Amino acid sequence: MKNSFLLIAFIFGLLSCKSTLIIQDIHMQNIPNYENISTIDSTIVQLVAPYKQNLETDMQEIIAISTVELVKGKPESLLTNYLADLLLEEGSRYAYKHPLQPLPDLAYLNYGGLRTQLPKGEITVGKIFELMPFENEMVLIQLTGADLYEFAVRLISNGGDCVSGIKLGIQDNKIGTFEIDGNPLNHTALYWVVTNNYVAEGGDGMTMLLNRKKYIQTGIKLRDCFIDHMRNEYQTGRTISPKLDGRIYYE
Amino acid sequence: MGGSTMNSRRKFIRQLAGASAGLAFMNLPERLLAAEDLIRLSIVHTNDIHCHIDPFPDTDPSYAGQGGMARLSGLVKQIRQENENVLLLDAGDMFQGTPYFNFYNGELILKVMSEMGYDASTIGNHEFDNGLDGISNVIDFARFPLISSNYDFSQTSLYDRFPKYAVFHKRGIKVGLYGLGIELEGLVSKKNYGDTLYLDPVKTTIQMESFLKNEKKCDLVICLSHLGLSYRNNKISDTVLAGETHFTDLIIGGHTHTFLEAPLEMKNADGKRIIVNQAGWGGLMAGRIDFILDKVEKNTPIAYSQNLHIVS
Repeated sequence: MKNSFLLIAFIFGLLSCKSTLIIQDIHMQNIPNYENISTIDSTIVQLVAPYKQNLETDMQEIIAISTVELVKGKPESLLTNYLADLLLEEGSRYAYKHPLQPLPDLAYLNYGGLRTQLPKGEITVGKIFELMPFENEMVLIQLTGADLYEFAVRLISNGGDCVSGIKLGIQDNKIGTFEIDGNPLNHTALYWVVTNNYVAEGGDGMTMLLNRKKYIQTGIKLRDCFIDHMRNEYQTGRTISPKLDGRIYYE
Repeated sequence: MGGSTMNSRRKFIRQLAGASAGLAFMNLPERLLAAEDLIRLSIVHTNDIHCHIDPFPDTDPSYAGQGGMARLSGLVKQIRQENENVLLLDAGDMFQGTPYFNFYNGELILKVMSEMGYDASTIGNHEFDNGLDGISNVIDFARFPLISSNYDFSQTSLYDRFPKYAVFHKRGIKVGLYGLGIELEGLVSKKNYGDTLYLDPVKTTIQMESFLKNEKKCDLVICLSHLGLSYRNNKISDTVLAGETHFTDLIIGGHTHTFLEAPLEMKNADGKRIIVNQAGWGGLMAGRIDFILDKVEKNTPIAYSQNLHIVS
């Protein structure tokens, strides 16, 4: 009896021994995934193939016809004017439905975030992905005229930019004429700006945008918004034909 | 049980390690380990895959032709052939980053990761990009748990979808995992995370690691973290968290997309070793941590370890 108790205790001891493993050694490395690091797993390739094929088809969908090549340039350009005007329109559409009615006075997209130009003729979904590879959201921010003055200083130091709703004259690298919606800037008035969350957070040197009085996150992905807008226009038979209108110019 | 046994054991491992170089360094023959009552567990991990299922395009200025989940899967299979005792883990932000996400909303990346045999992941901030419904709609494509210990989903439709911890039994090694997410306010649109509550990651860690070590009797405790490796300010990060822990052996991190040349060895709150690692992003790198555990010895662990980076 006593022996069997000891035996049980001994077995129990062995078991509990097993439950306390000790780390004797650690070997570690970070392995870059390229070239000949391993063979390709064909199971994964096969799993992905139909999705990849569908995706390619979707990316080839035509969503607009442009009568001109949308070239990107400064101080203004067909591409930047077209996109900023589109954003102002979509920002207004959103604002009408919002309880605050934050109707945007101007629209802004950072020039550096536009990664390609758009061709004359057919424009595909894939092209818009190339143009806007970043995952940005449409936001509305409320700023004072004084902040917008700083904003305009920055537009000028950028040599022009992607903007809608303003007329900005550059005089010796300084602000000459500066009108918003046809009226001279009022430093104490409040204005709404529709833009992307990246610059609204002070990106691309736009730190004055952080002075915002109000901030509305729309939850609308900018690229989706552009694609939907273009597709709707296309389906109603409209073509794209933007103009240069001297919104930013040298006086 | 004297120092001599430990010394010979240490010498044994060193001899094995010294006998080979490069990738083969990891290939300690299992039968030799078994003869010495040693068990090996290989942790292979990724973070911030961001739907980079295909290799980066040839036009990519930084990573042309690199990455790709099919090749990563090949690597994992190769590691599993050497050592069947593998845990394949991820530290979040599987979603968002290529048209595969815009068109398939996470379905494909979760299917691919399931096919590769991922054992667990956690929730990154980009998992919220299509809102809580966006997670709910695709989560069933994941045949692995998304472990989250510091997001409280109890007031949301996802209240029962994410375990707070998981315990894996790997050939006698009991491995406890917990998961940490980053603060959502200011990072994720409120309408996308809804009533999800963010709990303090340090407090959560202290509770989870003690629970896994002392109550669940885990031999290894691993944290899947999407906090980020480190910040210039005092925002909570993996390197800050490491110094607050008592029982965590490894923090697998993400969010900051940091390419570490080798995993970091840090000190926990008790001055003991804790490993912190992060493997870039986009499936461009995998981390591999091999733990060799002793079935018999009760002495303090050997402090010996070696960082190895493949020079190609």
